[in-house]
Amino acid sequence: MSFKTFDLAQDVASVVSSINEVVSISGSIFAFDSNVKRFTNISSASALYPLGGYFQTVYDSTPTSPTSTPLFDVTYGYATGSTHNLPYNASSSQNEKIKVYRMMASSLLGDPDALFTINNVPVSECFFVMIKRGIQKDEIKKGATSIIYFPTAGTTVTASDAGAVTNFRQTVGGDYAPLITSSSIEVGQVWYNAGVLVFEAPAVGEVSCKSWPSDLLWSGSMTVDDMQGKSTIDKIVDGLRLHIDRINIHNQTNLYSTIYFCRATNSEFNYSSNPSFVDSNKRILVTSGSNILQTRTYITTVGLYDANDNLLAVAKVNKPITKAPDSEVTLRVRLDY
Amino acid sequence: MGFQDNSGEIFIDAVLTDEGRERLARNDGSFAIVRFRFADDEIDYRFWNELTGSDSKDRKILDTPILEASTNEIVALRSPLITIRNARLQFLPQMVAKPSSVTLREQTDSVGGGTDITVSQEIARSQTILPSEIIDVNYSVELDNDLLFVSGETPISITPFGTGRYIIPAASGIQTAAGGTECKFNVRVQTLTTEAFDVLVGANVAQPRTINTTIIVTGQQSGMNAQIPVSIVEFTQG
Repeated sequence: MSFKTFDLAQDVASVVSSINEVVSISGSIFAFDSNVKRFTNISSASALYPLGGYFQTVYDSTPTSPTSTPLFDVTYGYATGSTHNLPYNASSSQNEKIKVYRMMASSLLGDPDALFTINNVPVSECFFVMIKRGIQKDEIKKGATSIIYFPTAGTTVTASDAGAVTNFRQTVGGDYAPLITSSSIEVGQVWYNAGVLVFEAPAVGEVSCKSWPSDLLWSGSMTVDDMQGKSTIDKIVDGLRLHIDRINIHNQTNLYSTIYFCRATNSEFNYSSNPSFVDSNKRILVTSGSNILQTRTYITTVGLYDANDNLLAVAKVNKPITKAPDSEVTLRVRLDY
Repeated sequence: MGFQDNSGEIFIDAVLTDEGRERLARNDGSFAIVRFRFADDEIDYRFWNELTGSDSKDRKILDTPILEASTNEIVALRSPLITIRNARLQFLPQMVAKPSSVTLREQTDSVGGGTDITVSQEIARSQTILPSEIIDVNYSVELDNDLLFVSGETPISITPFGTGRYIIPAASGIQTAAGGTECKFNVRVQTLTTEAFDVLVGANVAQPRTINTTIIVTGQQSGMNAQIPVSIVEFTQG
Protein backbone atom coordinates (compact mmCIF):
# COMPACT_ATOMS: atom_id res chain seq x y z
CA MET A 1 0.00 0.00 0.00
CA SER A 2 1.14 3.55 -0.59
CA PHE A 3 -1.25 5.49 1.69
CA LYS A 4 -1.18 5.77 5.45
CA THR A 5 -4.17 7.13 7.34
CA PHE A 6 -3.62 9.75 10.03
CA ASP A 7 -4.59 9.00 13.58
CA LEU A 8 -6.30 12.37 14.07
CA ALA A 9 -5.80 12.26 17.85
CA GLN A 10 -2.07 11.60 17.64
CA ASP A 11 -0.90 12.90 14.29
CA VAL A 12 -2.69 16.21 13.79
CA ALA A 13 -2.30 19.36 15.93
CA SER A 14 -3.59 22.92 15.58
CA VAL A 15 -1.47 25.84 16.75
CA VAL A 16 -1.45 29.64 16.51
CA SER A 17 1.74 31.60 16.09
CA SER A 18 2.66 35.16 15.18
CA ILE A 19 5.16 36.77 12.86
CA ASN A 20 6.20 40.38 13.42
CA GLU A 21 7.92 42.86 11.15
CA VAL A 22 9.41 46.20 12.15
CA VAL A 23 7.91 49.11 10.20
CA SER A 24 9.48 52.52 10.60
CA ILE A 25 8.02 55.29 8.46
CA SER A 26 10.10 58.43 8.32
CA GLY A 27 8.83 61.96 7.78
CA SER A 28 11.13 62.11 4.78
CA ILE A 29 8.62 59.77 3.14
CA PHE A 30 5.34 61.40 4.06
CA ALA A 31 6.17 65.09 4.51
CA PHE A 32 6.41 65.70 0.79
CA ASP A 33 3.39 65.99 -1.44
CA SER A 34 5.03 63.91 -4.17
CA ASN A 35 4.33 60.68 -2.24
CA VAL A 36 0.74 61.56 -1.46
CA LYS A 37 -2.38 60.63 -3.40
CA ARG A 38 -5.37 62.95 -3.05
CA PHE A 39 -8.96 62.12 -3.91
CA THR A 40 -11.89 63.98 -5.38
CA ASN A 41 -14.61 65.02 -2.98
CA ILE A 42 -17.44 62.82 -4.11
CA SER A 43 -20.27 64.58 -2.31
CA SER A 44 -19.52 67.93 -3.91
CA ALA A 45 -18.24 66.44 -7.16
CA SER A 46 -15.50 69.03 -7.04
CA ALA A 47 -12.11 68.73 -8.60
CA LEU A 48 -9.21 67.74 -6.39
CA TYR A 49 -9.09 71.31 -5.17
CA PRO A 50 -10.41 73.46 -3.65
CA LEU A 51 -12.77 71.24 -1.66
CA GLY A 52 -10.43 68.26 -1.44
CA GLY A 53 -11.30 64.72 -0.50
CA TYR A 54 -12.02 62.84 2.69
CA PHE A 55 -8.48 61.56 3.14
CA GLN A 56 -5.01 61.30 1.67
CA THR A 57 -3.02 58.14 1.04
CA VAL A 58 0.72 58.19 1.70
CA TYR A 59 2.89 55.98 -0.50
CA ASP A 60 6.54 55.06 -0.17
CA SER A 61 7.20 56.71 -3.53
CA THR A 62 5.23 58.40 -6.28
CA PRO A 63 1.69 56.94 -6.21
CA THR A 64 1.66 56.50 -9.98
CA SER A 65 4.78 54.35 -9.89
CA PRO A 66 4.03 50.64 -10.41
CA THR A 67 6.52 49.80 -7.65
CA SER A 68 5.07 52.11 -5.01
CA THR A 69 3.25 50.76 -1.97
CA PRO A 70 0.48 52.54 -0.01
CA LEU A 71 1.55 52.94 3.63
CA PHE A 72 -1.28 54.69 5.43
CA ASP A 73 -4.29 56.95 5.03
CA VAL A 74 -4.53 60.15 7.00
CA THR A 75 -7.63 62.20 7.72
CA TYR A 76 -9.28 64.56 10.16
CA GLY A 77 -12.76 64.83 11.65
CA TYR A 78 -14.78 66.50 14.33
CA ALA A 79 -17.95 65.64 16.22
CA THR A 80 -21.10 67.71 15.78
CA GLY A 81 -20.45 69.25 19.21
CA SER A 82 -17.02 70.52 18.24
CA THR A 83 -16.35 74.22 18.67
CA HIS A 84 -14.90 74.14 15.15
CA ASN A 85 -18.21 73.00 13.65
CA LEU A 86 -19.22 76.32 12.10
CA PRO A 87 -20.05 77.26 8.47
CA TYR A 88 -17.02 79.47 7.89
CA ASN A 89 -16.91 79.26 4.10
CA ALA A 90 -17.76 77.10 1.10
CA SER A 91 -14.64 74.98 1.45
CA SER A 92 -14.71 74.32 5.19
CA SER A 93 -16.11 70.82 4.50
CA GLN A 94 -18.23 70.62 7.66
CA ASN A 95 -20.23 67.61 6.53
CA GLU A 96 -17.14 65.69 5.48
CA LYS A 97 -15.35 66.31 8.78
CA ILE A 98 -18.39 65.20 10.77
CA LYS A 99 -18.82 62.17 8.54
CA VAL A 100 -15.19 61.12 9.13
CA TYR A 101 -15.45 61.47 12.90
CA ARG A 102 -18.73 59.56 13.06
CA MET A 103 -17.35 56.84 10.82
CA MET A 104 -14.31 56.36 13.04
CA ALA A 105 -16.37 56.55 16.23
CA SER A 106 -18.76 53.94 14.85
CA SER A 107 -15.96 51.64 13.76
CA LEU A 108 -13.77 51.95 16.88
CA LEU A 109 -16.15 52.93 19.68
CA GLY A 110 -19.23 51.16 18.35
CA ASP A 111 -21.36 54.34 18.35
CA PRO A 112 -21.18 57.14 15.75
CA ASP A 113 -22.27 59.63 18.38
CA ALA A 114 -19.61 58.60 20.92
CA LEU A 115 -16.48 60.65 21.56
CA PHE A 116 -12.90 59.49 21.86
CA THR A 117 -11.56 59.93 25.38
CA ILE A 118 -7.95 61.06 25.63
CA ASN A 119 -6.38 62.04 28.95
CA ASN A 120 -9.74 61.17 30.52
CA VAL A 121 -11.39 63.99 28.57
CA PRO A 122 -13.87 63.54 25.69
CA VAL A 123 -12.24 64.88 22.56
CA SER A 124 -14.36 66.24 19.72
CA GLU A 125 -11.57 66.79 17.18
CA CYS A 126 -9.15 64.10 16.08
CA PHE A 127 -6.53 63.25 13.50
CA PHE A 128 -6.60 59.66 12.25
CA VAL A 129 -3.65 57.79 10.79
CA MET A 130 -4.92 54.51 9.34
CA ILE A 131 -2.26 51.94 8.54
CA LYS A 132 -2.94 50.07 5.29
CA ARG A 133 -3.79 46.38 5.60
CA GLY A 134 -0.73 45.40 3.58
CA ILE A 135 1.53 47.14 6.11
CA GLN A 136 -0.42 46.38 9.28
CA LYS A 137 -1.07 42.71 8.33
CA ASP A 138 -3.47 41.16 10.88
CA GLU A 139 -2.87 43.69 13.64
CA ILE A 140 -0.33 46.03 15.20
CA LYS A 141 1.81 44.41 17.85
CA LYS A 142 1.16 45.76 21.33
CA GLY A 143 3.93 47.64 23.10
CA ALA A 144 5.94 48.47 19.99
CA THR A 145 4.27 51.62 18.65
CA SER A 146 5.80 55.06 18.93
CA ILE A 147 5.40 58.37 17.21
CA ILE A 148 7.86 61.25 17.16
CA TYR A 149 6.12 64.53 16.49
CA PHE A 150 6.73 68.29 16.55
CA PRO A 151 4.55 69.91 19.27
CA THR A 152 6.22 73.21 18.49
CA ALA A 153 8.60 74.30 15.79
CA GLY A 154 12.06 72.77 16.23
CA THR A 155 11.24 70.43 19.14
CA THR A 156 10.31 66.76 19.07
CA VAL A 157 8.43 64.61 21.53
CA THR A 158 8.10 60.84 21.51
CA ALA A 159 4.83 59.20 22.51
CA SER A 160 4.62 55.44 22.80
CA ASP A 161 2.38 52.62 23.97
CA ALA A 162 4.97 51.28 26.40
CA GLY A 163 3.42 48.77 28.77
CA ALA A 164 0.49 48.08 26.46
CA VAL A 165 1.26 44.36 26.33
CA THR A 166 -0.39 44.04 29.73
CA ASN A 167 -2.24 47.33 30.09
CA PHE A 168 -4.21 47.48 26.87
CA ARG A 169 -7.95 48.11 26.91
CA GLN A 170 -10.74 46.44 25.00
CA THR A 171 -13.92 47.70 23.41
CA VAL A 172 -16.10 46.82 20.43
CA GLY A 173 -13.49 48.22 18.05
CA GLY A 174 -10.85 45.85 19.41
CA ASP A 175 -7.82 46.34 21.63
CA TYR A 176 -6.34 49.78 22.13
CA ALA A 177 -3.90 51.61 24.38
CA PRO A 178 -2.93 55.23 24.98
CA LEU A 179 0.08 56.86 23.34
CA ILE A 180 1.93 58.48 26.23
CA THR A 181 4.89 60.85 26.26
CA SER A 182 7.84 60.58 28.62
CA SER A 183 6.03 63.18 30.75
CA SER A 184 3.16 60.72 31.14
CA ILE A 185 0.84 62.83 28.99
CA GLU A 186 -1.61 60.99 26.75
CA VAL A 187 -1.71 62.50 23.26
CA GLY A 188 -3.54 59.79 21.38
CA GLN A 189 -4.39 56.14 21.07
CA VAL A 190 -3.32 53.15 19.03
CA TRP A 191 -6.04 50.71 17.98
CA TYR A 192 -4.26 47.42 17.37
CA ASN A 193 -6.79 45.33 15.50
CA ALA A 194 -8.07 48.21 13.41
CA GLY A 195 -4.57 49.54 12.69
CA VAL A 196 -5.53 53.13 13.50
CA LEU A 197 -3.62 55.83 15.36
CA VAL A 198 -5.87 58.53 16.83
CA PHE A 199 -4.44 61.91 17.87
CA GLU A 200 -6.10 64.69 19.78
CA ALA A 201 -6.54 67.95 17.88
CA PRO A 202 -7.06 71.24 19.77
CA ALA A 203 -10.51 72.70 20.25
CA VAL A 204 -11.01 76.38 19.45
CA GLY A 205 -8.49 78.39 21.43
CA GLU A 206 -7.16 75.35 23.28
CA VAL A 207 -3.54 76.41 23.69
CA SER A 208 -3.17 73.81 26.45
CA CYS A 209 -3.87 70.91 24.09
CA LYS A 210 -1.37 68.16 24.92
CA SER A 211 -0.58 67.17 21.34
CA TRP A 212 -0.50 70.36 19.32
CA PRO A 213 -1.52 73.74 20.85
CA SER A 214 -4.17 75.71 19.02
CA ASP A 215 -1.86 78.61 18.22
CA LEU A 216 0.74 76.43 16.50
CA LEU A 217 1.44 77.49 12.91
CA TRP A 218 0.13 74.52 10.98
CA SER A 219 0.47 75.20 7.28
CA GLY A 220 1.60 78.46 5.72
CA SER A 221 0.47 81.36 7.88
CA MET A 222 -2.53 79.60 9.38
CA THR A 223 -2.65 78.05 12.84
CA VAL A 224 -4.02 74.62 13.53
CA ASP A 225 -6.92 76.39 15.21
CA ASP A 226 -7.86 78.32 12.07
CA MET A 227 -7.41 75.44 9.72
CA GLN A 228 -9.64 72.95 11.52
CA GLY A 229 -12.66 75.16 11.01
CA LYS A 230 -11.88 76.93 7.76
CA SER A 231 -9.81 74.54 5.61
CA THR A 232 -10.48 71.36 3.72
CA ILE A 233 -9.50 67.99 5.18
CA ASP A 234 -6.77 67.86 2.54
CA LYS A 235 -5.15 71.05 3.75
CA ILE A 236 -5.48 70.12 7.42
CA VAL A 237 -3.71 66.79 6.95
CA ASP A 238 -1.09 68.50 4.79
CA GLY A 239 -0.17 70.27 8.03
CA LEU A 240 -0.34 67.08 10.08
CA ARG A 241 2.20 65.38 7.80
CA LEU A 242 4.59 68.28 8.44
CA HIS A 243 4.24 67.89 12.21
CA ILE A 244 5.09 64.20 12.48
CA ASP A 245 8.73 63.15 12.31
CA ARG A 246 8.40 59.36 12.42
CA ILE A 247 5.91 56.55 13.02
CA ASN A 248 7.19 53.20 14.32
CA ILE A 249 5.07 50.07 14.54
CA HIS A 250 5.57 46.34 14.52
CA ASN A 251 3.00 44.63 12.40
CA GLN A 252 1.74 41.17 13.19
CA THR A 253 0.60 38.25 11.07
CA ASN A 254 -1.34 35.65 13.02
CA LEU A 255 -0.78 32.20 11.60
CA TYR A 256 -3.35 29.54 12.28
CA SER A 257 -1.59 26.32 11.50
CA THR A 258 -2.36 22.66 11.35
CA ILE A 259 0.60 20.37 11.85
CA TYR A 260 0.51 16.89 10.36
CA PHE A 261 2.98 14.40 11.78
CA CYS A 262 3.70 12.01 8.93
CA ARG A 263 5.25 8.95 10.54
CA ALA A 264 6.88 6.05 8.77
CA THR A 265 7.73 3.11 10.99
CA ASN A 266 10.63 0.82 10.19
CA SER A 267 8.55 -1.50 8.02
CA GLU A 268 6.75 1.19 6.00
CA PHE A 269 7.58 2.98 2.73
CA ASN A 270 10.69 0.98 1.96
CA TYR A 271 9.84 0.33 -1.71
CA SER A 272 9.13 2.75 -4.52
CA SER A 273 7.01 3.01 -7.63
CA ASN A 274 9.70 5.24 -9.12
CA PRO A 275 10.49 3.81 -12.60
CA SER A 276 14.22 3.94 -11.85
CA PHE A 277 13.80 1.89 -8.67
CA VAL A 278 14.04 -1.31 -10.75
CA ASP A 279 15.94 -2.33 -13.84
CA SER A 280 14.36 -3.62 -17.05
CA ASN A 281 13.81 -7.02 -15.39
CA LYS A 282 12.04 -5.36 -12.42
CA ARG A 283 14.99 -6.21 -10.19
CA ILE A 284 15.42 -3.66 -7.38
CA LEU A 285 18.56 -1.64 -8.11
CA VAL A 286 19.68 -0.83 -4.58
CA THR A 287 19.91 -4.50 -3.66
CA SER A 288 20.83 -5.89 -7.04
CA GLY A 289 24.14 -7.74 -6.69
CA SER A 290 24.82 -5.76 -3.56
CA ASN A 291 26.07 -6.61 -0.13
CA ILE A 292 23.22 -4.39 1.07
CA LEU A 293 20.42 -6.90 1.15
CA GLN A 294 17.69 -4.68 2.48
CA THR A 295 15.67 -2.33 0.35
CA ARG A 296 15.79 1.42 0.88
CA THR A 297 14.16 4.54 -0.49
CA TYR A 298 14.77 8.29 -0.40
CA ILE A 299 11.91 10.55 0.62
CA THR A 300 11.63 13.90 -1.19
CA THR A 301 7.88 14.54 -1.15
CA VAL A 302 4.90 14.23 1.18
CA GLY A 303 1.37 14.28 -0.20
CA LEU A 304 -1.66 15.00 1.98
CA TYR A 305 -4.91 13.49 0.69
CA ASP A 306 -8.61 13.42 1.41
CA ALA A 307 -10.65 10.24 1.73
CA ASN A 308 -11.13 10.12 -2.06
CA ASP A 309 -7.38 10.29 -2.69
CA ASN A 310 -7.47 13.86 -3.95
CA LEU A 311 -4.09 15.49 -3.36
CA LEU A 312 -4.90 18.60 -1.28
CA ALA A 313 -1.44 19.66 -0.16
CA VAL A 314 2.10 18.73 -1.00
CA ALA A 315 5.34 19.20 0.92
CA LYS A 316 8.94 18.86 -0.15
CA VAL A 317 12.02 18.30 1.97
CA ASN A 318 15.15 20.16 0.89
CA LYS A 319 17.34 17.03 0.98
CA PRO A 320 16.50 13.38 0.28
CA ILE A 321 15.84 11.47 3.50
CA THR A 322 16.88 7.85 3.62
CA LYS A 323 14.18 5.37 4.58
CA ALA A 324 15.10 1.74 5.22
CA PRO A 325 13.83 -1.17 7.32
CA ASP A 326 16.30 -0.19 10.06
CA SER A 327 15.07 3.40 10.36
CA GLU A 328 11.96 5.39 11.15
CA VAL A 329 11.04 8.84 9.88
CA THR A 330 8.64 11.48 11.18
CA LEU A 331 8.10 14.54 8.99
CA ARG A 332 6.26 17.49 10.46
CA VAL A 333 4.21 19.23 7.75
CA ARG A 334 2.71 22.56 8.72
CA LEU A 335 -0.08 24.21 6.75
CA ASP A 336 -0.72 27.87 7.58
CA TYR A 337 -4.07 29.56 7.13
CA MET B 1 9.32 26.79 -9.33
CA GLY B 2 12.94 26.53 -8.33
CA PHE B 3 15.28 24.27 -6.39
CA GLN B 4 15.29 24.28 -2.63
CA ASP B 5 18.26 25.57 -0.67
CA ASN B 6 19.92 22.42 0.64
CA SER B 7 22.92 24.10 2.25
CA GLY B 8 21.64 24.01 5.82
CA GLU B 9 19.34 22.08 8.11
CA ILE B 10 16.51 19.94 6.78
CA PHE B 11 13.27 21.84 6.36
CA ILE B 12 9.94 21.22 4.66
CA ASP B 13 8.25 23.46 2.11
CA ALA B 14 4.47 22.85 2.09
CA VAL B 15 1.77 24.30 -0.17
CA LEU B 16 -1.88 23.66 -0.89
CA THR B 17 -2.51 22.27 -4.34
CA ASP B 18 -4.95 23.97 -6.71
CA GLU B 19 -7.45 21.25 -5.84
CA GLY B 20 -6.88 21.90 -2.13
CA ARG B 21 -7.39 25.63 -2.48
CA GLU B 22 -10.52 25.13 -4.54
CA ARG B 23 -11.99 22.80 -1.92
CA LEU B 24 -11.03 25.17 0.87
CA ALA B 25 -12.75 28.03 -0.98
CA ARG B 26 -15.89 25.94 -1.45
CA ASN B 27 -16.39 26.05 2.32
CA ASP B 28 -18.49 22.91 2.15
CA GLY B 29 -16.37 20.66 4.32
CA SER B 30 -14.73 18.95 1.34
CA PHE B 31 -11.27 20.02 2.51
CA ALA B 32 -10.45 17.22 4.93
CA ILE B 33 -6.96 15.74 5.05
CA VAL B 34 -7.10 12.18 6.34
CA ARG B 35 -4.13 10.32 4.85
CA PHE B 36 -0.70 10.83 3.42
CA ARG B 37 1.93 9.19 1.36
CA PHE B 38 5.61 9.70 0.71
CA ALA B 39 7.23 9.94 -2.70
CA ASP B 40 10.69 10.15 -4.24
CA ASP B 41 9.94 11.96 -7.51
CA GLU B 42 13.39 13.52 -8.01
CA ILE B 43 15.37 10.41 -7.18
CA ASP B 44 17.12 8.48 -9.95
CA TYR B 45 18.12 5.15 -8.45
CA ARG B 46 20.50 4.51 -11.33
CA PHE B 47 22.91 6.77 -9.46
CA TRP B 48 23.26 3.96 -6.92
CA ASN B 49 26.96 3.07 -7.15
CA GLU B 50 27.62 -0.53 -6.27
CA LEU B 51 31.33 -0.26 -7.06
CA THR B 52 32.31 1.79 -4.04
CA GLY B 53 32.41 1.59 -0.25
CA SER B 54 29.26 0.87 1.68
CA ASP B 55 28.97 4.42 2.98
CA SER B 56 29.29 5.95 -0.46
CA LYS B 57 26.95 3.87 -2.55
CA ASP B 58 24.12 6.38 -2.33
CA ARG B 59 26.19 9.57 -2.13
CA LYS B 60 25.05 10.79 -5.56
CA ILE B 61 21.45 10.01 -4.70
CA LEU B 62 21.67 12.03 -1.51
CA ASP B 63 23.15 14.95 -3.46
CA THR B 64 20.04 15.17 -5.64
CA PRO B 65 18.57 18.70 -5.70
CA ILE B 66 14.91 18.88 -4.73
CA LEU B 67 12.37 21.06 -6.50
CA GLU B 68 10.05 23.39 -4.67
CA ALA B 69 6.55 22.06 -4.13
CA SER B 70 4.20 22.28 -7.12
CA THR B 71 0.57 23.32 -6.72
CA ASN B 72 -0.47 21.23 -9.73
CA GLU B 73 -1.78 18.05 -8.13
CA ILE B 74 -1.31 16.06 -11.31
CA VAL B 75 2.47 16.46 -11.36
CA ALA B 76 3.15 17.25 -7.70
CA LEU B 77 3.53 13.63 -6.65
CA ARG B 78 4.23 10.97 -9.26
CA SER B 79 6.21 8.19 -7.59
CA PRO B 80 4.73 7.18 -4.25
CA LEU B 81 6.67 4.97 -1.89
CA ILE B 82 5.17 1.58 -1.12
CA THR B 83 4.82 -0.39 2.08
CA ILE B 84 5.56 -4.10 1.77
CA ARG B 85 6.28 -5.91 5.02
CA ASN B 86 8.83 -8.24 3.43
CA ALA B 87 12.03 -6.19 3.50
CA ARG B 88 14.03 -8.65 1.41
CA LEU B 89 12.23 -8.53 -1.94
CA GLN B 90 14.61 -8.61 -4.89
CA PHE B 91 11.99 -7.93 -7.55
CA LEU B 92 8.94 -5.68 -7.75
CA PRO B 93 5.68 -6.30 -9.57
CA GLN B 94 4.70 -4.14 -12.50
CA MET B 95 1.63 -2.70 -14.16
CA VAL B 96 1.19 -4.05 -17.64
CA ALA B 97 -1.12 -2.31 -20.10
CA LYS B 98 -2.66 -4.18 -23.04
CA PRO B 99 -2.47 -2.81 -25.62
CA SER B 100 0.66 -0.91 -24.63
CA SER B 101 -0.26 1.93 -26.98
CA VAL B 102 -3.49 3.02 -28.61
CA THR B 103 -4.50 4.67 -31.87
CA LEU B 104 -7.97 6.24 -31.97
CA ARG B 105 -9.79 7.87 -34.84
CA GLU B 106 -11.64 11.13 -34.47
CA GLN B 107 -15.45 10.77 -34.80
CA THR B 108 -15.24 7.02 -35.52
CA ASP B 109 -14.08 6.35 -31.98
CA SER B 110 -16.26 8.99 -30.32
CA VAL B 111 -19.85 7.80 -30.24
CA GLY B 112 -19.05 4.13 -30.62
CA GLY B 113 -15.96 2.04 -30.99
CA GLY B 114 -13.09 3.22 -28.88
CA THR B 115 -10.47 0.84 -27.58
CA ASP B 116 -10.68 -1.52 -24.62
CA ILE B 117 -7.63 -1.23 -22.37
CA THR B 118 -6.67 -3.73 -19.71
CA VAL B 119 -4.12 -2.87 -17.03
CA SER B 120 -3.05 -5.74 -14.82
CA GLN B 121 -0.68 -6.40 -11.95
CA GLU B 122 2.05 -8.73 -13.15
CA ILE B 123 5.41 -9.90 -11.89
CA ALA B 124 8.68 -10.41 -13.67
CA ARG B 125 9.35 -13.92 -12.40
CA SER B 126 6.52 -16.42 -12.48
CA GLN B 127 7.47 -18.09 -9.20
CA THR B 128 6.99 -14.84 -7.27
CA ILE B 129 3.64 -14.07 -5.72
CA LEU B 130 2.39 -10.50 -5.41
CA PRO B 131 2.65 -9.19 -1.82
CA SER B 132 -0.83 -8.87 -0.38
CA GLU B 133 -0.32 -5.21 0.67
CA ILE B 134 -0.18 -4.03 -2.92
CA ILE B 135 -3.07 -5.88 -4.49
CA ASP B 136 -5.10 -3.08 -5.99
CA VAL B 137 -8.81 -2.75 -5.35
CA ASN B 138 -9.28 0.45 -7.36
CA TYR B 139 -7.43 2.07 -10.21
CA SER B 140 -7.10 5.77 -10.98
CA VAL B 141 -7.22 6.68 -14.68
CA GLU B 142 -5.95 10.13 -15.64
CA LEU B 143 -6.31 11.51 -19.14
CA ASP B 144 -6.66 14.77 -21.05
CA ASN B 145 -10.37 15.50 -20.61
CA ASP B 146 -10.39 17.83 -23.62
CA LEU B 147 -9.34 14.95 -25.87
CA LEU B 148 -10.47 11.66 -24.33
CA PHE B 149 -13.04 10.12 -22.05
CA VAL B 150 -13.77 6.75 -20.49
CA SER B 151 -16.95 5.34 -21.91
CA GLY B 152 -19.71 4.74 -19.36
CA GLU B 153 -17.84 6.40 -16.50
CA THR B 154 -17.94 9.87 -14.95
CA PRO B 155 -14.73 11.63 -13.92
CA ILE B 156 -14.51 12.25 -10.17
CA SER B 157 -12.57 15.45 -10.82
CA ILE B 158 -11.36 17.62 -13.66
CA THR B 159 -8.41 19.88 -12.87
CA PRO B 160 -8.13 23.49 -14.06
CA PHE B 161 -5.59 22.20 -16.60
CA GLY B 162 -8.16 19.78 -18.01
CA THR B 163 -6.96 16.47 -16.61
CA GLY B 164 -9.90 14.17 -15.98
CA ARG B 165 -9.59 11.56 -13.25
CA TYR B 166 -11.67 8.41 -13.08
CA ILE B 167 -11.78 5.71 -10.43
CA ILE B 168 -12.20 2.28 -11.99
CA PRO B 169 -12.74 -0.69 -9.66
CA ALA B 170 -10.74 -3.84 -10.26
CA ALA B 171 -12.55 -6.32 -12.48
CA SER B 172 -14.44 -8.67 -10.20
CA GLY B 173 -13.57 -12.36 -10.20
CA ILE B 174 -10.38 -11.91 -12.18
CA GLN B 175 -7.00 -12.75 -10.70
CA THR B 176 -3.76 -12.42 -12.59
CA ALA B 177 -1.14 -15.16 -12.59
CA ALA B 178 0.69 -13.26 -9.87
CA GLY B 179 -2.40 -13.09 -7.69
CA GLY B 180 -3.07 -9.45 -8.54
CA THR B 181 -6.02 -7.67 -10.08
CA GLU B 182 -6.73 -5.88 -13.31
CA CYS B 183 -8.96 -3.10 -14.54
CA LYS B 184 -10.67 -2.70 -17.86
CA PHE B 185 -12.06 0.38 -19.49
CA ASN B 186 -13.01 1.67 -22.90
CA VAL B 187 -11.39 4.93 -23.98
CA ARG B 188 -12.90 7.14 -26.65
CA VAL B 189 -12.28 10.50 -28.32
CA GLN B 190 -14.10 13.66 -27.31
CA THR B 191 -15.84 15.69 -29.99
CA LEU B 192 -12.94 17.67 -31.44
CA THR B 193 -12.81 20.63 -33.76
CA THR B 194 -10.48 21.47 -36.59
CA GLU B 195 -9.15 24.23 -34.37
CA ALA B 196 -8.01 21.64 -31.82
CA PHE B 197 -5.77 20.02 -34.42
CA ASP B 198 -4.66 23.47 -35.63
CA VAL B 199 -3.53 24.42 -32.14
CA LEU B 200 -2.08 21.12 -30.96
CA VAL B 201 -0.51 19.91 -34.21
CA GLY B 202 -0.34 22.90 -36.57
CA ALA B 203 -2.62 24.40 -39.17
CA ASN B 204 -0.10 23.80 -41.95
CA VAL B 205 0.51 20.12 -41.26
CA ALA B 206 -0.86 17.78 -43.93
CA GLN B 207 -4.08 15.95 -43.08
CA PRO B 208 -4.88 13.61 -41.50
CA ARG B 209 -3.09 15.08 -38.49
CA THR B 210 -2.32 13.20 -35.27
CA ILE B 211 -2.58 14.42 -31.67
CA ASN B 212 -0.42 12.50 -29.20
CA THR B 213 -1.36 12.23 -25.54
CA THR B 214 -0.93 9.82 -22.63
CA ILE B 215 -3.22 7.92 -20.28
CA ILE B 216 -1.84 7.18 -16.82
CA VAL B 217 -3.33 4.28 -14.87
CA THR B 218 -2.33 4.05 -11.20
CA GLY B 219 -3.19 1.34 -8.72
CA GLN B 220 -4.64 3.10 -5.69
CA GLN B 221 -3.24 0.63 -3.21
CA SER B 222 0.12 -0.11 -4.81
CA GLY B 223 0.83 3.36 -6.19
CA MET B 224 2.34 1.68 -9.26
CA ASN B 225 1.38 3.02 -12.64
CA ALA B 226 1.37 2.32 -16.33
CA GLN B 227 1.58 4.99 -19.01
CA ILE B 228 -0.24 4.36 -22.27
CA PRO B 229 0.61 6.52 -25.30
CA VAL B 230 -2.45 7.47 -27.32
CA SER B 231 -2.56 8.79 -30.89
CA ILE B 232 -5.72 10.52 -32.14
CA VAL B 233 -5.97 10.60 -35.92
CA GLU B 234 -7.96 13.40 -37.53
CA PHE B 235 -11.13 12.54 -39.42
CA THR B 236 -11.00 13.42 -43.11
CA GLN B 237 -13.74 13.20 -45.73
CA GLY B 238 -13.32 10.48 -48.34
